[in-house]
Amino acid sequence: MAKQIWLALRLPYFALEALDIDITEQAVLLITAKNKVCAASPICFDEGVRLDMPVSTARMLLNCEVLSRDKQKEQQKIHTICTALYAYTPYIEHYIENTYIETSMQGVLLELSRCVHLFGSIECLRDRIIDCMNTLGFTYVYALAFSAKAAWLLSYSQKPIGHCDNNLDDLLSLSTLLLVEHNEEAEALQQSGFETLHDIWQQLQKEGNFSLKKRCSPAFIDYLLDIFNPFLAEKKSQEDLFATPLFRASAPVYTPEEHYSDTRFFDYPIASIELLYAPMKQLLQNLCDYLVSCQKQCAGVQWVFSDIYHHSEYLNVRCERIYRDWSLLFELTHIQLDKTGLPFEVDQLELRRPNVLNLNIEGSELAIYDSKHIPDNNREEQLVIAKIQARIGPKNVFKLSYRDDHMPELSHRKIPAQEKPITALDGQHCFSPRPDWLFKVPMAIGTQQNNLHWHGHIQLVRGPERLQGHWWHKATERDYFIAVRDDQIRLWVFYDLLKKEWFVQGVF
Amino acid sequence: MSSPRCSSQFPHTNAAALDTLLRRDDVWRGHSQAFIPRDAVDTGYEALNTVLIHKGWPQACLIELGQKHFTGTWLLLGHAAKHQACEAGGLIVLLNPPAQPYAVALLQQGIPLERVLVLTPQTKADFIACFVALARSSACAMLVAWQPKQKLSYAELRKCQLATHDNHGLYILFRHRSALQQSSPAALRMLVAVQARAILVECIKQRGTLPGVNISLPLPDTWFSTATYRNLYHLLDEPLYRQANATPWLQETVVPLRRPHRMARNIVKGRGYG
Repeated sequence: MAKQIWLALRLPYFALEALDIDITEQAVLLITAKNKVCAASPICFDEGVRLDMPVSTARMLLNCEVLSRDKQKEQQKIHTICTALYAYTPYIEHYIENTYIETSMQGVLLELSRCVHLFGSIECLRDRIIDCMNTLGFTYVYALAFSAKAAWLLSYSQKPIGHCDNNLDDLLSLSTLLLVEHNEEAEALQQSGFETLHDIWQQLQKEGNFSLKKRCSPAFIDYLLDIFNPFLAEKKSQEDLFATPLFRASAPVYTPEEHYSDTRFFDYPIASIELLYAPMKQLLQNLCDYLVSCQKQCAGVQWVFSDIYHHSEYLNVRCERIYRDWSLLFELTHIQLDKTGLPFEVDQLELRRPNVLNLNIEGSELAIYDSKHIPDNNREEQLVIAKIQARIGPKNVFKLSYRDDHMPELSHRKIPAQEKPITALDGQHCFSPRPDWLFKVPMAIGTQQNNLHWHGHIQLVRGPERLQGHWWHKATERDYFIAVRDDQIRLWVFYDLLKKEWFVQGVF
Repeated sequence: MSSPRCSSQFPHTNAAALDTLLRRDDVWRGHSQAFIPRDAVDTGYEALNTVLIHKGWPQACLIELGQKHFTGTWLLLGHAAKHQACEAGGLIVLLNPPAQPYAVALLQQGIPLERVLVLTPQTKADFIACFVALARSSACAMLVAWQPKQKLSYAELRKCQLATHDNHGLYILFRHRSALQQSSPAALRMLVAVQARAILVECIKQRGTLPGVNISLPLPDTWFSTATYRNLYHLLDEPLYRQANATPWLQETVVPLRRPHRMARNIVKGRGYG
């Protein structure tokens, strides 16, 4: 297996620079919600300010500007850095030191081994990345190593580490106090005389990891494994020193935002829907080419019709996932457009915001996969639903879904035709008889000559079944009966124990 | 005199044309009782299957069911709906239902909700357009429609009937029983009435047979009485209701020391009476 090559770019003043502060000239402190210093410019450090110090203490040391940390801006700036570095490698991790205080250091970790061939050599690639970072204007330190954790630790060296080979000595010279992600273990090791990583390394060389395992947590041992394993792998005799963990969640990798938009400009205003079909087909074909090239699927698009007066009209088209065959999207667009018509004479047609999803198809023949992956019946179903929705309106086309609630009127609801209903029936609803038709609002039943009366005389024949609930909101307590009217219709009626009234709620 | 000469020249062609014509199941063939077998869906009732010449609800044709009140729908159609949704895998479409179908009742019938679609068109024109579109779509395995307030003319029924020939679904139109006095192009017309002990089904038109067959289908046990209350005040005299009237909050928190009345005991346990 080829060795990984990691470049750590640590941003020591990132929280300040994210706020566009000139750290070389201004004395600025950033504070947390608990009024503790979480970042400071070099001038402040020179005056004795330390991280995690109370802001009142820091203010006694020097007169400086105090600002609050803005995590949203930090997120935006990290996104900018990652987007710029995505030109050099697709494996970019945003790394935040996992410490117990809010002063944690941030940076990015780049895995470069797969891109070395593309750029000629690791030195060439490294120099290109450094040039890129210089243009972004952030203060940074960097280090190269065969593991991500080792590269990050090496970034704390006095000098930049621009090579992977022979950097073990640089790593071993670092203090154990730099293992801040496991602060307790690092302090305990320091007190036991393990002042540098070299001491840990020697211990591992002499006695293996048994003594460390007794003292330290498994997470810390894993952490050491990440740091030392590339170096241990070189020495075959030490291969069994650590067992590689079988299961470990991979760190989230930066993925760039996908933005797809395709536009057609017309030489003259188009007033007829039929004249739009050709450019629509062309735009959909382009979209499907894009989907195939990126191995993606699409579950809907937005059409934007514009004219020279900057009027814009939007048409959203939803469908099941499509991959290569754009005809379904075209037919659904056709149906909707026939119903709504063109809002004005169109000068510009844009296909934007396709609902792009990762490809999820069976089989491995991705690129040559045929359009038949959508079952014909499903396709036909979507088309007929779209046609009817266009005719009678989406509100008049719906499905029913079950909802877990004791009260009958709350135990089901309407959902849009495209949604998937809940069908797992449970509780009392499984066994007790329920009517075919349910009234949205129960209707009051009158009494005549000591009998119930609702469009005829009603006789209770079965029950009661008590349903009660919603004591936390609006207590409801009902006794339900099956009743038969004098024309033999079976009704579902209940006696409201709180209102002391009778109601009919359903028909069997 | 050219026609006889032609027929003598091409006797096979004419025989083939006649054969093709006789293969159609809508050609009246007198009292021969000969009919073309058509695909059908089991009704779930042996007695009803026997009456229907295709041994079930016939597919790809219009079925009219006349009722005074729209009740017992899933007693008649539940078995077929379950078959069409689960085995045929198509949509079960309820077009212009008289009230909101209760999802729990559908689930109890074994009808998967993801296959059920409800349409509520506002006009008769929309109703017919939806009916025709659904009948012509292979995605719709069963269409259950309730006639809109405005009466359907023969021409409109004919339009619906023609659309049902395009696919192999089950197409059922519920109408008020008075509407069944009009002529209709439907292949099967039945009157359905719920009685005290059974559902009475009267077949008033079926292609290939003579009308006038009556059958009774059993009602489910849950529809029958386990206890009848002489009147409302007889029920309200029950100890539980007397107690509830006095102190509504007591009944769920206080356990009575003496053995409660039979009905009250069942209520406390959350079961049906009897």
